[in-house]
Amino acid sequence: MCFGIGAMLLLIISAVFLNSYLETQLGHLKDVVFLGLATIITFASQWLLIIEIQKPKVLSFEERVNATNEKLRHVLNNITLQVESVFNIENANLSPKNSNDALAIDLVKCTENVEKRVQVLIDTLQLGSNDELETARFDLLPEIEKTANAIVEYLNANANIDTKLREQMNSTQPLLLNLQNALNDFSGKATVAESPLLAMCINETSAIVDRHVRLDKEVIQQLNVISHDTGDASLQLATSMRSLSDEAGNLVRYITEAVMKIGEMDGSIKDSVDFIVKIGYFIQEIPDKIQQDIASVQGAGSVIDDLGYLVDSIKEISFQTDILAVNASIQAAHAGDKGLGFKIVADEVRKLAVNSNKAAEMIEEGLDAARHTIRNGLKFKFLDEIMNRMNEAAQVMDAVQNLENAHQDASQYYKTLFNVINSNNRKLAADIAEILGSIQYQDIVRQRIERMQFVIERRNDLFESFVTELESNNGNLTDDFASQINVILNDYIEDELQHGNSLNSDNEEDAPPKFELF
Amino acid sequence: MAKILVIDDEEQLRDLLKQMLGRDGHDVQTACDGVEGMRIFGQFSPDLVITDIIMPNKDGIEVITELLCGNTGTPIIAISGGRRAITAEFNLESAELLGVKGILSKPFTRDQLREAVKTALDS
Repeated sequence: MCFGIGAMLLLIISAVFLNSYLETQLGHLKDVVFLGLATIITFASQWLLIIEIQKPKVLSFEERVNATNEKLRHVLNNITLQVESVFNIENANLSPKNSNDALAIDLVKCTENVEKRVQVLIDTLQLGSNDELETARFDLLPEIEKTANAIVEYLNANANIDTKLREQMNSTQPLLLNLQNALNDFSGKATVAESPLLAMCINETSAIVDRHVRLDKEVIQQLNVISHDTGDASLQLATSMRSLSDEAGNLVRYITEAVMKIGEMDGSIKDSVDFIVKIGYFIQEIPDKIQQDIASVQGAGSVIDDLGYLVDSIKEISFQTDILAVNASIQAAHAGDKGLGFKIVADEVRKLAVNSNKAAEMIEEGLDAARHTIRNGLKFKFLDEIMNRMNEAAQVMDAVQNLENAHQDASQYYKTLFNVINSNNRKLAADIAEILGSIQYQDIVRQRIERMQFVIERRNDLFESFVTELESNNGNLTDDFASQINVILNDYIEDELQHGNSLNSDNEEDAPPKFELF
Repeated sequence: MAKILVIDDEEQLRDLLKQMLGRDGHDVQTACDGVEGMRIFGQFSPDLVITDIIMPNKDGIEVITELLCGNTGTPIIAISGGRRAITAEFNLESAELLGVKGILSKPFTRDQLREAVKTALDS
């Protein structure tokens, strides 16, 4: 509009200054040019003006709500002022002393009530909910009607009241009527789709609910993925842990069996060691036995030597006997025939002496051979060899002792080793069992997620119904959605209580039985 | 102060430990092997057990295993000097793996013993 006015002024000024110049240049065509320019500028400015007027002002939702509320507040404030002026007039001029006191009092009370209700309505517009607004509106409407009726009754009953007062009171009535209409209109706008404010509210509400539903669907989808992933991971983990548990169990069994076998082997080794110890003692005794044998052999040599002396005696006796027999034979020869028998005896004695000598020589040879044999047997440093053997025997005993110590150490070592391994394996098996229990809880988590998904889906269905009804019935809801939400909530809580939560339960007795899923 | 059970097959060390711990105000009882140690444990209910590892009849490893499996909650200190091929380190490492609260390699000082006892009792 400003642009159009500016353009017009510019045209006029231009026309004044350029009139003479254009007249000389264009002659009679000057008026045609001016007319054409004026038409163009007029249309252009009007066109711009129309655009400017029709151009919608883009306001935010909040701004629009505030603007609407501000207008309503303005109207209500004006009405309130009018009502207050009526109230002031009543207070100033109406006296309850005359016959119409009761009507005046009624009127004053009515105006007071209207004032209070209007104030409540204004406050509710600022801060209250739609329900509270409706309540305030419903409370105000009958008070307005009562006040209007009270004014009419008072005016009818007081024909002689001040003209100015009558005028004001008469003007109050249409104001009250306007207020009534405004409230009805306002009520319509609060409940009917024609109201831009309510329509915006419905649209916004629908959009928000729709976005929530879409968000929940996305969340449900992710929960599905999480649920499946958790389930798969739990199963995989459980399988691995089961395998580990089996392996740990096998290891414990293997070690237990190994301990038993080693116990048997230990007994066998101990028997062998005992046997070797006995052999050791036997070997240790051998030198003494040999010593004893040597002593025996040496004793035999002494006996042989003693026998040699006896052989010498026998030979001496044989020699003496032989000489005696020779002498006897000579004496027998001197005796002639009388000595013949004696000679035979002497010859026999001599033969006996010779034979005795031969026997003694044979014994001597035998004894010499035996003595030679004994001496040969003892002559190769025999005693030194015996000492060496004795030392060796003593070393065998040391070796046997070492073997026994090593066996004791090995037994102790394996005993300790197996005790530690066994103990740790049992702990490991217990830990694995505990982990398996925890993994099983993952399935409970999955079930809980599924129950959450179910309740969200139920709520989304309800939201969709809510939006549909909100849009199709212009904001009038026939179903009690709040109650239905409560039903869903209670169902969910009851379901969760039935399933329980074994891990978080403080009281084991109150806790439901643990799940056995795998 | 605490009730302490000392299990060791070396009489001299047993007496020495009893004397040292007694001076610190502890009530000490002793046992010469694991069998006697477990018997006294049942009667004495000690706050702490100090056990040697290599002992006749029932060794320290068996005592530790039995006490820990029984969930008695009594802290244990293992002591060892080793024997021939079996080193003190091996014995004490084994005891640690079983879950004892302290280890002492023989020979040890009075301060080391006192520190180990304090740590075990505080645990």
